[in-house]
Amino acid sequence: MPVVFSHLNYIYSIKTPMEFSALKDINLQIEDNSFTMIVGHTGSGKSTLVQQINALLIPTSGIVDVNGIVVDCNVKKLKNIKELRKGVGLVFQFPEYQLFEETVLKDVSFGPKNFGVDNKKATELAKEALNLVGIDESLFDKSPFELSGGQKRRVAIAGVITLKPKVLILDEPTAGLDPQGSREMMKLFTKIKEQGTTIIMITHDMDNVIRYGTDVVVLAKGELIKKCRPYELFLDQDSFNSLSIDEPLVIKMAKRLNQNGYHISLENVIDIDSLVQEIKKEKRYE
Amino acid sequence: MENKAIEISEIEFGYYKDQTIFSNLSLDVNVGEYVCVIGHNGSGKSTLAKLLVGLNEVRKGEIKIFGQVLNEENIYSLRKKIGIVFQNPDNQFIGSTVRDDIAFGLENACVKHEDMEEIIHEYAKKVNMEEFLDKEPGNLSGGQKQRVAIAGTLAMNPSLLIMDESTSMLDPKGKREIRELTNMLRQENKKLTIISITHDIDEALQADRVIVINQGEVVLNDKPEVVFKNEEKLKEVKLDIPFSYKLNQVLNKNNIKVDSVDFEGLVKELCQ
Ligand SMILES: Nc1ncnc2c1ncn2[C@@H]1O[C@H](COP(=O)(O)OP(=O)(O)OP(=O)(O)O)[C@@H](O)[C@H]1O
Ligand SMILES: Nc1ncnc2c1ncn2[C@@H]1O[C@H](COP(=O)(O)OP(=O)(O)OP(=O)(O)O)[C@@H](O)[C@H]1O
Ligand SMILES: [Mg+2]
Ligand SMILES: [Mg+2]
Repeated sequence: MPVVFSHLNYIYSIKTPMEFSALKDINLQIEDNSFTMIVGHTGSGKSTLVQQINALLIPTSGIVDVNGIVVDCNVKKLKNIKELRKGVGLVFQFPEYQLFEETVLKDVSFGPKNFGVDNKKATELAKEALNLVGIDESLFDKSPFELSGGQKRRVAIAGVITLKPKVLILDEPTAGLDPQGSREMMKLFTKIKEQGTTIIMITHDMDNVIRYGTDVVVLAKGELIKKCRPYELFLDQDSFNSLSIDEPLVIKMAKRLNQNGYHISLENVIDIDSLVQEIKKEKRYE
Repeated sequence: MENKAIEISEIEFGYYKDQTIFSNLSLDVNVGEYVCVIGHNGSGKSTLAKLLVGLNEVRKGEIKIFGQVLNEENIYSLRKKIGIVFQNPDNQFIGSTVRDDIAFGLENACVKHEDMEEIIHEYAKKVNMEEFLDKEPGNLSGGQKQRVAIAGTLAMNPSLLIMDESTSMLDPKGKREIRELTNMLRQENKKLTIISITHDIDEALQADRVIVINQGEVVLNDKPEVVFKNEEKLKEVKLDIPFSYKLNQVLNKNNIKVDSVDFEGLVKELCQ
């Protein structure tokens, strides 16, 4: 499903002394079935932005349109919100705020049950999802609060993917995962995208942005700065320097080599293998 | 003068009876050392951190901090020397504003009231959070929470600093800034010991020593250059090698012969 923001503003604690304007006139179209990465400095408004999509936060003004369901400051009709949340799944930046049941298995099967799936089927879905995120069966009957940080994140992700949302929003889903877990999780998200889901992912990991992203959105101080293809972000040195975004190491290497006479096209470089393929095309290695 | 900050000998621990996280773990950390601990999810890193600050008790064996065996009597006095930044910063906030929160820590560290305001500003500034002193810690963004948690802990001027994935939600530049900050503190105080639990290999490359934990056991324990040469072992325990090590391998596999395992070295060799 596509997600469209128009003239969206969001102010925290409005009309109090603590009032804070976190999003300013956001106009943005997130394409259907894209893998859209959202990047930006600490406090730039990324988490605030994605929470508008499933109406966890309601726009102060302007709208979000999720495939025809419109969220604006007048949404009060709960029926609409439930329909919206069935289609839009969100994994929080801090997974602990998403976990609440007595056991891991109950926690993950809660979602489908809540949307009317029977007990047995919900448990089946939950087991399947837990398996996909790398949670061992020995942890199924544990309290989710007695898990390690990375285990909690995996369980929180499982809880959302059981719902098979049309839009899957992930707020720093690889923070705290071990390297192998992080790689496997990215592969899982890619597979989910291939099945038709739109993925919106907040991350600071630029390697993931160029490896897996179809689009990237840059926020700074509550404003939308740029939306482009991932490699385009790194073509113009000045612009990303001023955004305090780091280059992925493969791009950094490609640029250094180009300064020394190589002819690598940056848009072909998405990981180490593709970088080496580009290096091999140089005359000197023929 | 004691030269060990931490001596862990043959400890056994589990959260409940039929659970064993550590069956026989031994480890030493020297005063002034900067050690990174890496390991897969659930390997026992945070558990180890909690044992070091006496939040949980070992079943067998002992833990010495600055030469003293950790026990119920000395834990409060020892805690004055230990600063810990927890994996989830929300578990550490007690004040209703960022300012109060840092002040609470200072009170516990017995800092005089008249000095507090200056210290609070100094550390809030060091982590770029000076503008947020009047905000509620719960109402900050993820990265801002982590910065405040770090400031609060550093302000107490600990001799032993334990950081449990405390920069996991910062952008790479933010991560570097915090690393520069702790490096500076180590310059000022050569006795400051740092244990940093992390999944960030770039950070681990900068450490004096890297300890790799797998299912509650130490599997590698050496200088980063040595640890990251063990690719097979690291893969086996779900970890990874740094970018430049990997690039070196893939190049060699493709018949482009290189020796360097650092970024600049590779640039040089490829451009000869
Ligand atoms: N509940 C709240 N009340 C008031 N201000 C808030 C609240 N939540 C966030 N803010 C402020 O809004 C701004 C944007 O926060 P947000 O959480 O969207 O940032 P972010 O881009 O996700 O940052 P990070 O990368 O650190 O997670 C920040 O300056 C933050 O302090
Ligand atoms: N409070 C608890 N009660 C029972 N078991 C726990 C508790 N906390 C953690 N565990 C278990 O102990 C093991 C080690 O957990 P720990 O939190 O130390 O891992 P970790 O290495 O810090 O992992 P991560 O990288 O995911 O943070 C895990 O299998 C976890 O499920
Ligand atoms: Mg955030
Ligand atoms: Mg942990």
